[in-house]
Formats: sequence, C-alpha cells, structure tokens
Amino acid sequence: MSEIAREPRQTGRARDTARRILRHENANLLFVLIALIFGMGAVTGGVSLGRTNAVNIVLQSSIRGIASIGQAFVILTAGLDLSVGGIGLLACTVGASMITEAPHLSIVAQPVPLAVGVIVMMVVGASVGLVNGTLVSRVGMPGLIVTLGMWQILKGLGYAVGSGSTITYLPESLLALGQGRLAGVPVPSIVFIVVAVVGYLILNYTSFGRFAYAVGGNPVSSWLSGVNVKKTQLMVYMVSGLLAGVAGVATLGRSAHASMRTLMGLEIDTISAVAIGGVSLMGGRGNLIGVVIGVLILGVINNGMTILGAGPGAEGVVKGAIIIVAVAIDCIRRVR
Amino acid sequence: MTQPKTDEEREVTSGRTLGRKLLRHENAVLALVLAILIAVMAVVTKGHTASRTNAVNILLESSIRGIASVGQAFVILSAGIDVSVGGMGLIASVVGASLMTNNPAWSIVASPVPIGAVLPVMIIVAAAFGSANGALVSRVGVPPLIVTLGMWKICEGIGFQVSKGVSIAQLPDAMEFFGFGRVGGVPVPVIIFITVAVIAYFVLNHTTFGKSLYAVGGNPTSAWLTGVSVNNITMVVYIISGGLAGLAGIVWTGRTMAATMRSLTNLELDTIASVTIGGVSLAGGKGNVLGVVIGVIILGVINNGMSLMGADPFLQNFVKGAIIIGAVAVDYLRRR
Repeated sequence: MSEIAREPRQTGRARDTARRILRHENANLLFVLIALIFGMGAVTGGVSLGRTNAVNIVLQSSIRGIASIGQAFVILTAGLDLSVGGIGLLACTVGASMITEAPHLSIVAQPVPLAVGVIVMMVVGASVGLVNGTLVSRVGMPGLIVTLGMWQILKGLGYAVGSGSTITYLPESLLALGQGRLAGVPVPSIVFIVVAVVGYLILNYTSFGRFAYAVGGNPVSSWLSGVNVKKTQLMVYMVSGLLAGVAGVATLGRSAHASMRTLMGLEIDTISAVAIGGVSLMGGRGNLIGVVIGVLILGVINNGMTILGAGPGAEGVVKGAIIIVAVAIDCIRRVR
Repeated sequence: MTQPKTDEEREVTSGRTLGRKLLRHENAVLALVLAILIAVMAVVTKGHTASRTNAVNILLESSIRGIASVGQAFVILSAGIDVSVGGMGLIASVVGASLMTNNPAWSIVASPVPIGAVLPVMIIVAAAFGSANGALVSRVGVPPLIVTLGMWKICEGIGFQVSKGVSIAQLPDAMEFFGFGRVGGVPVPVIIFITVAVIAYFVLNHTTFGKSLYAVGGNPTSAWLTGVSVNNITMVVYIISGGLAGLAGIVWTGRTMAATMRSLTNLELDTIASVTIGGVSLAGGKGNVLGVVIGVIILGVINNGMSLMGADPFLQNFVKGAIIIGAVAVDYLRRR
C-alpha cells in the first residue's frame, strides 16, 4: 500500500489510527486469539465461551504467564531458560516445607510465617537465576546447556528437600492468597497483570530494557557501544529465576500442595508462549504484549482440549506441534 | 597412533616413548578418569563394584544408553542436539509391542505380526521421526533444540495414543533374545552396542560422510563453500540418531518384555551427558567414538555406584546435571 498513491484521497484520522492498529506487530496475534476463541467456542458447542470458563482460562494462564514474562526477557537476549520448571519446583518444595504445619514434612522446627516463606521462595528463584546467569555470562556456556543441566540439578535438590513426598497441610492464609479474589479478579491473575505491566515498563522505558534488546540483536555491536553485555545477560536470567519463583508462589497458593510433579512442563509452555508471541529465539525482537497474547492463545488451546476430553496423548502431540510451528514461522519470516 | 615408518623411528619407539604417545592421545585423560572412578567406586562400596557380575551388569545397563549415545554423538558432532531420542525409542517400543503382542486387547492389528517383520518396522518408525527432525532443522532452519523438544512431546503423545496408556506385554519369547540372550557368553545388548560403535568409528573416520560431518560441525559455512552438502549431512545425522534410538528401543523392549510409557525416560539426558563426558564438543566438529564409549561407561559406573549406595533416583538427576554443566564448562574454558 503506497502512501504516495493514496495521497490524493484524504485519509481521515479514524482511518489513520485504524491502519496503525492493523499494521501493529501484534495485530495478527490478536486476530489469531480471537479466531481461536470463536473456533473453540464452535467446536465445544459454546461451552468454552461461558463466563466461569473464561475466568478459568485467565486463571490457569496466569501462572504460566508470570514465568513466560521471565522467559521472554531471557529469549530477547538470545538466551534460553530450560530450568524454569525446576526453579518453580524447588521454590515450591522449599517454601512448602517451611510453611507446612505438619512436622514430619517440615524442614524447620516451627512453621515459618507465610510472608517469610514467600520471600524465601523468590530468593531461591533469583539465586538459581544468578547461578545460571553467571555460568552464561562469565564462563560463556550457552544458556541451553547451563539451564538443561541446572534443570536436572534442581530436580535432584527438590527431591532432597521434600524427600519426594507431596507436601500438604499448608496454612489457611496461603490458600486465601492463592484462591482468593480482589474485586472479583483472582489474585494470581492480578499478579500476572502486575508482572506484565512492570515488565513492559522495564523493557520499553529503562536502559536495562534497551540493553536486553541490544544484546539479543547483536552482542558484539552492543559491547562496542558500551553496553555491559555480561551484566545484562546475568540480570535477565535472574529475572527469569525470580519470576519462576513467583510462579511457584502462585502455584502453591492455588494447588495447596507441592510435589515432584509441580510445574512440570513449564519450560515447554513458556517457550511456546514466548515464541507464539512473536519473540524471536534469535533474540532482539518481540514485545511483551505479544507474549501475553501468546500465553492466552496457549490457554485457550489447552482449555479447549480439556473440554473436548482430549487425552494426554493428543495434548502432547498438539503441544509439540505448536512449539515447532511457532518457531518455524519465526525462522521462515526472518530468513526468507 | 600411526605405525612408525622407518627403522630409525622403530628403534626410537621403545616402551618409554610409546607410553608418552599413549598419554598424549585425545582420550587418555578420559580413560584415566574411568580407571580412577572404578577404583574409587570399588573402595567406597567396599569391593562390591569390583565383582565380575557387577562389571557385566554395568556393561549391560550401559548398552542401551550406549547405542543411543552413538546416535546422539553424530548429531552433536554436527553442532546440533537431539532431545527426542527417548521419545523415538519409546515410539519404536510401543509400536513394536502393539504389533507383536499376543494379547488382542493391546494389539493394533488383527493377528500378531511375526517378530522378524516388526523389528525393521521399529527402526524405520524411529528413523522416520528422525527424518522429520532433520528436515525441520536443515530445510526450515528451526533450532535443533526446539525441533527435537517438540518432536519429543509429539512422540510421547503418539505413544500414549497407540498404547492407550497401558503397558503392553505378552510379547513373543523371541524378543527375550535381545534383552537376555548371550552369544559366546557375551550378552546380546553389549554385542549390539560394540557393533554399533565399531561401525560408527569406521563411518566417522574412514568415509567421506564422516569427514564431511566433522567439517559441517566445525564450520558449516566453509564446509558449504568446499562443496559439502550441509543440508543433506544434517538430515542424515538426525535419521541416524532416530534409527539408533529405535535400536535402543528394541533392546529395551527385549529387556523389559513390555512397552510402557516409562520406557527410556531420561535417555536424552543420559546420552547428552555420556557424549559430553566423552569429549564431544557441543559446538560441533570435535570428538570421537572411543571417547563416547568411555563416556557411556563412566556414566554407567557412576549410575551403578549410586544405585549400590542406595542413592535416590533424583540424586542421579542432580549428578547428571552437574556432569553436563561441568563437562561443557571444562570444554569452554579450555577453548578460551
């Protein structure tokens, strides 16, 4: 559409803004989401369009969404964090073992107050992120390998802390947090929205955010321009770890227990959401709005499959296909 | 180690310099590590690990992992990675079992297919998934991690659908040969592993394909400029990985005489750990089969020692994760 050819026709302000919105990066994504919602609605005979179901989708997407924002930070710098599930697992196991009121499941003499437990969980997440980030930025190992190894280490630690058992008997105050609502919106969703907004502000209005994009786009020129590449890399992994810890807190609040299956598969979910959301795995491109839409798209698909009664078999195939297709589309768009 | 060419050289290569030449061999350090590990384990377990039956056990247990590790080595030599090996082995196992089983409730055909026809099918099915991996990596350009991660979930999903989540047993007795048979006193799995390793050694060191593979892994652009078909080689290594994963699946099915959804879990982790210990660089282009074999056995000794000491299964995850990070860190630090 050439602007010059259009010149003689006076374009009104409304049409201008409409065109700007339609050309926006995330317009396609939004269309996909809307199409999916209606598609799922049709396929499930309207069941998925119910109000409670819609709230369900947002709720279930929130936990994944919190971790996806962290994953987005890492992927923007051309890194990858496969350990998010493990971080969530460890945070949940440690946190639960500290606040549980059952002495045989606890790792401390007296159950710790909820606030302390929550802080500990976030510290655990950030610390693991720190280790990941250090290995990537100082030793120079690819994020893939570091986080792959860390993931396994965390599984082992999670087992060591919780002895593999399911930790329950958690305090009422935790459940109030996880299953409660503020002005009708479930608490985990509020956390997701807050995290997304803060993340957006950081990425678009702080130098750290700009550095993240720069490092992902071209680490060498960033370094030549004076960007502290190592520090940026370190910090994005810490952000991812911290947010994985927060996701752990939300999970604990919702499910009221921690087991070795907690947050299994989070890495695939977050990478898929980020890839669908238009963030390139090569780094340097994408934005958080897309990631949020990506999270919701995944949520709608998951929700639809559950309503349709698709077994774990079909779910696995669909999840695998989604991640391949989402990244393939990005690769094709970038190179060809 | 080449043969000395002149009489002079032959004189000089006495026992002393031969020793020095051995020590300078690429895999010398590795073999030393293995020897030390065996000694340490023997001491720590008060001699339990040093028995003959235990040694055979280690080799036996390592064989399945070893067969798949050779395939993984091919992929990693091309600077790729294959985390779907467990899934491909699983699918081979499930498909094979559903074809061979004598129980009509589990079978997917009218009457059980003779084992002779099923075995090639198992390998072909796995190799087909491998070719899908290869096509996506070489033609579409999707990062190997994402492709194989997605493919893994897809394989798991299909495996679940085909087996309906049930353990498929009642396989023909002939399958036992692959798990428990012995030829000349040597267990069949070990024979298969050794055969695969020898063939791989030959292919890597004495065929154009092998040399081209090293070139592709080392520097794909120069390889391409020299006329090497990078895309074809990349495609083939993933097919090899798939085929060998299928073979590993055959041996596994032979040992457990069943196909379950738990088949070959953690195989991707084990193969990556074995291959990285074995000196194959994750950046591609460096490493050899002998190192991989030693790496497989080292991991086997560690696993064996940990089981004998009664360590929890998740402790093994911890150790494997630490090994992967440690081995790759060493490689990266060495290259700086």
